Amino acid sequence: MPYSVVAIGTSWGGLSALTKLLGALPADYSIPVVVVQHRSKDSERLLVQLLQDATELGVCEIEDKDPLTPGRVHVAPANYHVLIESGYASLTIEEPVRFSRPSIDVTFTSAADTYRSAAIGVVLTGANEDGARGLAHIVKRGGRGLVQDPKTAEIPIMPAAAIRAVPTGEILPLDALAPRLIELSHERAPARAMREA
Amino acid sequence: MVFSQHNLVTDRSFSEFNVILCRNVLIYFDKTLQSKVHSLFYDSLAMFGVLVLGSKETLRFMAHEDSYQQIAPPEKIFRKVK
Repeated sequence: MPYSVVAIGTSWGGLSALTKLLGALPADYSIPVVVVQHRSKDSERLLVQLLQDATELGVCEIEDKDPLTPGRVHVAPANYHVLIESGYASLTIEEPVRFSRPSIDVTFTSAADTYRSAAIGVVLTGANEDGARGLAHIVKRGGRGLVQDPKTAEIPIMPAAAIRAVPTGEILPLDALAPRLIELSHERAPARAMREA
Repeated sequence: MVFSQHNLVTDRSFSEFNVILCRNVLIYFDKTLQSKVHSLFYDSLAMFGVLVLGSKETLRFMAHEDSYQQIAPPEKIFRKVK
């Protein structure tokens, strides 16, 4: 079975990192991509526009129950959490988790629960520790955890926290993340054998 | 003026309304239940009545999608037109 979702979480410095990463993915990239970027709760569609200008993939802001589509980048809307369900995304307005809504941990955890070993989580630059717990959950369920090398991150706090939480994660410089994601799109997800810890 | 409690999931249409406001409730329902509630809304709205959803909610893939016109997109305000 191929991988079902690539979930990318980032905060401070994310726009620049995302444009580089998404810009290096081909238009026919076969795994749906979900982006959770912390931003102000009243920010409008500018992020989608800026990402669209940087990538060949189609970029859209998530609306409730949107199907997750290969070749598309699904961006978490400001002020909602995104839950990844089987084949689509749901939104919730539950309380912020560790001060964030959207919360990377919430999206990653739902990706792990839904897709188990077929989920890939990626943590990029950021100034808080959101994403670390979610990435650990993905890896615990047998999925892949990729982390931007903190040395290449505008703000190293978020990737460094992810590495502490997921010592077995793959640590890659920003430029190497897209090639690795392309490689993974041609691989099968590991057979689901991991036991719940 | 009548104030009344209505359960979206278990109760049926009990009047004809000109405006229904339902924001960020349906996101907690799965697609099957969303579809059921949208049928309830459709049955409860007067012709040219207005349904107002949350800013990230849609009528896509719902049976009555074609019965509404979106007023002033991207706002999620829909007028029942058939």
